[in-house]
Amino acid sequence: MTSTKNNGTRFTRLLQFISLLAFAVFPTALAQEGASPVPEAPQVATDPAQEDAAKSSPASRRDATFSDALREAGPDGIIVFCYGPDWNRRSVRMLKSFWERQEVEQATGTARLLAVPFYQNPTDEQKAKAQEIARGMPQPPFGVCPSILLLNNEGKIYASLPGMDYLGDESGKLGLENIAKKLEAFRKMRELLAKADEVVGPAKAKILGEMMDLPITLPKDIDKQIAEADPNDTTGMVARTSYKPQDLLYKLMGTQDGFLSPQFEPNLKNMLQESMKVIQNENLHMADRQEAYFLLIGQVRREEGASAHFKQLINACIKLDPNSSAATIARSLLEEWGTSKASQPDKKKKDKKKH
Amino acid sequence: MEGRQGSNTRIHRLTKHIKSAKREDMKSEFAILVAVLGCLGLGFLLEPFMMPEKQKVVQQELPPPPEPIEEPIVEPEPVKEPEIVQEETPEEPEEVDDPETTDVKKMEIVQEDNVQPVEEKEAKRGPSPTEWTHPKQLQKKLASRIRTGLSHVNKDSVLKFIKTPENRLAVTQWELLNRADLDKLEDLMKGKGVADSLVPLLNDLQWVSTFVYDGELESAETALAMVYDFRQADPKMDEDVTPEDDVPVRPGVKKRIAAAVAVEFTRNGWYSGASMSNKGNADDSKNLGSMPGTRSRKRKAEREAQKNAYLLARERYLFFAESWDQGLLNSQFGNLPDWLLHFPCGWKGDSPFGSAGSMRWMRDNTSAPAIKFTDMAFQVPYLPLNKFGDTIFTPLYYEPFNVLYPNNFAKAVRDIGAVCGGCSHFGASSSCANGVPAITVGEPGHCSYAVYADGKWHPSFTISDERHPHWKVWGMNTWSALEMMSDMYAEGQRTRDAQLMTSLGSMMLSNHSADKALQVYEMAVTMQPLYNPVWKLYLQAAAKSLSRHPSRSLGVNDFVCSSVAPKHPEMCALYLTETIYPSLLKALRTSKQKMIAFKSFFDNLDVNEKAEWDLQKLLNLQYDSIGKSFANKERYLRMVADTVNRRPKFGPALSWAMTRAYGESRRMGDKVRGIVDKLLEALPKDEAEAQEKHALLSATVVRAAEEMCAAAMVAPGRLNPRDLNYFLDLANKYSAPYLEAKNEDKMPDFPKQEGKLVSEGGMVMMEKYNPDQKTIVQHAAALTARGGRILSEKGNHVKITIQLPEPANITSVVIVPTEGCKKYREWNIETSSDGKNWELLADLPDSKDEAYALVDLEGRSRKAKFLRIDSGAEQMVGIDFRAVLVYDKHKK
Repeated sequence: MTSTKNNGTRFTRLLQFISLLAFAVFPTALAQEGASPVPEAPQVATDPAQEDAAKSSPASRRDATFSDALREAGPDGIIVFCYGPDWNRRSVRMLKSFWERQEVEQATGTARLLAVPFYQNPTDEQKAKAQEIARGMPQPPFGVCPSILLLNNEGKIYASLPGMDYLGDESGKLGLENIAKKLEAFRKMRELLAKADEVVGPAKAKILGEMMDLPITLPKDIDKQIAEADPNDTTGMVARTSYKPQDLLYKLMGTQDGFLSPQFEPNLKNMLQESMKVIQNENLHMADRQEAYFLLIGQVRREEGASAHFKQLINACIKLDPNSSAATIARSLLEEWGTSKASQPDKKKKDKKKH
Repeated sequence: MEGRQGSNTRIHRLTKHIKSAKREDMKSEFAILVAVLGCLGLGFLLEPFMMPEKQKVVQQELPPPPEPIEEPIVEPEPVKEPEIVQEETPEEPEEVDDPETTDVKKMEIVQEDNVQPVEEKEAKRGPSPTEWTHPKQLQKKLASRIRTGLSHVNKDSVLKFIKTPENRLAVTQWELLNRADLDKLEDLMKGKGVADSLVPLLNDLQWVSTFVYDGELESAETALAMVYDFRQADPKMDEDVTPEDDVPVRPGVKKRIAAAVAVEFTRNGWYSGASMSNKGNADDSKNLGSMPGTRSRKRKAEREAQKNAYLLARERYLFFAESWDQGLLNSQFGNLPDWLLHFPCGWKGDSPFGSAGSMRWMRDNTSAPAIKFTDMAFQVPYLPLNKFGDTIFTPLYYEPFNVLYPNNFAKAVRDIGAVCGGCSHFGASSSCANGVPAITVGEPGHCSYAVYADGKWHPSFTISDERHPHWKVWGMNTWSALEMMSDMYAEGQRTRDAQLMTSLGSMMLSNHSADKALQVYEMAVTMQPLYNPVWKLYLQAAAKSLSRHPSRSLGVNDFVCSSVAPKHPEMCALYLTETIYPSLLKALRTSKQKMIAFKSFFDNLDVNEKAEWDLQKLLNLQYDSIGKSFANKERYLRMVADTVNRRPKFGPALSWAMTRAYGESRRMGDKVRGIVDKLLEALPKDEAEAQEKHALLSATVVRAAEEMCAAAMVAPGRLNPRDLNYFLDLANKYSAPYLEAKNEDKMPDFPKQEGKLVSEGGMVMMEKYNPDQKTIVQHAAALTARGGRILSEKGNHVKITIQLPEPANITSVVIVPTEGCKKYREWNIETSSDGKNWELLADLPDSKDEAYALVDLEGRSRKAKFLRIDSGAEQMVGIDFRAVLVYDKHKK
């Protein structure tokens, strides 16, 4: 077993090596930073179908049951407002203050609109009516109301907006913006799928890979299609879609279930090499690359406390994408841990309990 | 829920028991002598279980005394103690046995079992604010008024007395004062404006009743100081907002919230401390109430401290009051029975899950129908390591993310992850934040939670039936106590009457009227046998009388068993072992009488109730009390077997009986074997007809066989091969049908071993059994061709011993651990020919995280009949193997 002191020396050398590697990464990262636009405010769709829909009577897109909505659903699918008539007063109020307002129709393209009640203690009559309305429809995640479900024209959920984090206040203004964002992403996905159908091989993989950044649930087999289209991963899209940060974390921390073994000693060289591969891989999501920095930051803090290396790694992480949540976290660490007691090297701590 | 009829049935039963007791007493003068002798030790025996009449005063200092009222205080007239109409009582209190006082058959119970006690009309007038500023005098006045109104204590007069709202109010107020430090209360009430603010509540029968009786009120003066603080922060506490829907709501929701928050925060000592939420109202100076305060001469810092004395409680009150006003809680909240309000209102006041910021977020983002909260924990990803590689067991797990989640721990947990504790707290918190009662629950090595919906508690995220709620009920944190309390409050009016009667009894006791107190306690017990506190008081008061009259004791024993055991067997066992038996066993003189008493418990058990509790404690106490005669013991064990035969879910009792039978002589012998064989008759003959029963009982038989075998192993000089073979036969016979299915998992590919597998049929004995195996056959009592699952209790250096079917020349051993166990591999393996002298075979190196461990003697061999494996030093693991396979390559 290697001593801590030796670890430190060895680790210092490796970090010097890392610093050099990191410098090599930054220019690319900065270039990408410039290339990645700040998400723009969602725009209400302006495709011709939607304009046509807006001209028609808005009420005509509101359905009484999910079966009706599914039958009538066009490319924009179905949007469902879930409310709790006998237990959730806010959602009942939002039926009027938000859902039934004309702005909802204007912002939802050609999507069919449906309000579905979820009762707590329904009478037999209410139960039968609710079942009739929702027959064939998936439940909102965890039964949360008010919530919005966005479904494709096959009745499968591609996005959900549960609770007030997504809906804002009872006017539903934020909810409307979020619906528009999701709908926009959904349309983009359709567009990319159509484009992908026209090509084969790596070109197809690249188009499909673009979809992976969309903030909606994608069809299940997309990663499989990418792998089939680009078996040698010439586009890097296979790695991008299949990479899971947790796998790297668990592998490098020597665990399969997240609980650390008392015998585990991190292999620092391996940790640095593996993390750097991820950090340098420009095909991967920026957030995944930053998470690889987190792993290194955590290990350095445990070994050395608030050392120069620790700060160096944090700065490198921030520079990779200064506007990201990861960068915000990293900045706060510099303030919180940079000088505090918490930044002292840990004594060996291992899990005592398994839950 | 029992209705009026149920109540009368119970009363009838008690009356019957007591009447038969009297007849029995007449016949047996000797019984009295025994009872008197028993009395000598009774006080000592009961002492640990006696509840002090006055609740413990929490050592929390009240805020400094409020400014004195400027108006002159009118000293109340000295209370003239009215003559207490005492019945003639001899010096030695007579046994309360006359029909007038104990025949409660005719007791008229007109109330119905509605959920919430209905105070049909308000008391016309209560004590004035000035009277409340002198609580000591007020308490005397109330006592005097009550005694005057209840000059003669009997069933009719008591029932009649507590029917009147004025009297109910007086009794409740007396009880409130009984639970207060009266000096501190006086300081509080003399604060400027305090009495004027609180007295409308204190004279409101509905409010004061819920304040005193619907929770466990301790330090009433502190709780009232909190309520005053809430009223300052929310001047509209008394106003009801009409909900926009048509659902009718009981008025006074915010006043009830105030009572529940104050009682729970006082009980748990959640007084002051910095606000855990910057978004909390505590930061809004406009909302800060001025506490009953100090004069200007006090330092500013003291005033600040005083102002924030109840910050946490105030935040909680305002959260629920505002959320209710704005219609943001689950609609059922407004109509929750008052006792249930205590769960959301008293949710984790000192935890970041209970901060106003977290609760607001959960209210707004996890709102779901009540029953759906049982799924809510699954929103949280189960992640023991964070992205920095720090484990959940250090504060560093969440710390890096604080910047993204200011004042909102719940959201942080939802996004970052947790293990069972965090997941369950998230589930229960989200439920409480929406006004749906929930609690977290401890299980062995796990944390789960439970949600109250549709009139009962629904366990969620659970892995075991052994549950300990993180919520104390009458000082206990057992699941049974929680369920019994829930059932008790469901019988609203009856419970409230029993509580009032209990207060009356306590008042009489404080007035040195012990005999009258006993009568009233007995009425309360009869009225509501599920009300735990009154049992303690009653048995304490009746101890002398019960020990003098054995058959009267038997009557009480039968009443407890018949009224509590069917639905709450664990609580009944607790009553029996801790309060009834200490006096009963002294009073009963023959084993026959004792058997009758013990049988009463078993006869009243519900067929479907599981024995997932410490049944052995009761059984041991009973068994050890019936005398040394082998015949008596045999009779008792057969009674247990008979019980198990009729109630297979009490299977653990069979296991207990077998091991105790064997324990009598530490060897089987024909006599003991005869008993064990008789016990085995409890098993169904036809498996097909009673598969479930067979499975339940087989598990206990196997366990018993293993335990007896283990006992035989460790008893020096007692190792009897015949006994071991007998146990082995039992274990094989009863475990075999249930092991095949367990061994179907694919085994890892380990090198094929030469020779014969010599461990098949080997007996497994372990020092510490895993408690989860009580009722299901989870492991191999005997090893199989595939190896045999072995699961021990957790702990360091847990040992298992395997007795091979016959001596063998061991050439290799393969151990296949489970996923959870393999990483802690540091086992050593020993062998023995006689089970006494051991020799090391292999000391396996530290974990290699491999799917199996192979000990290959590389051409050598070791002759042995026994194999012993030590689990190593890791405290939290023990042995958890999928298979142990022993080979002898010289045999084919």
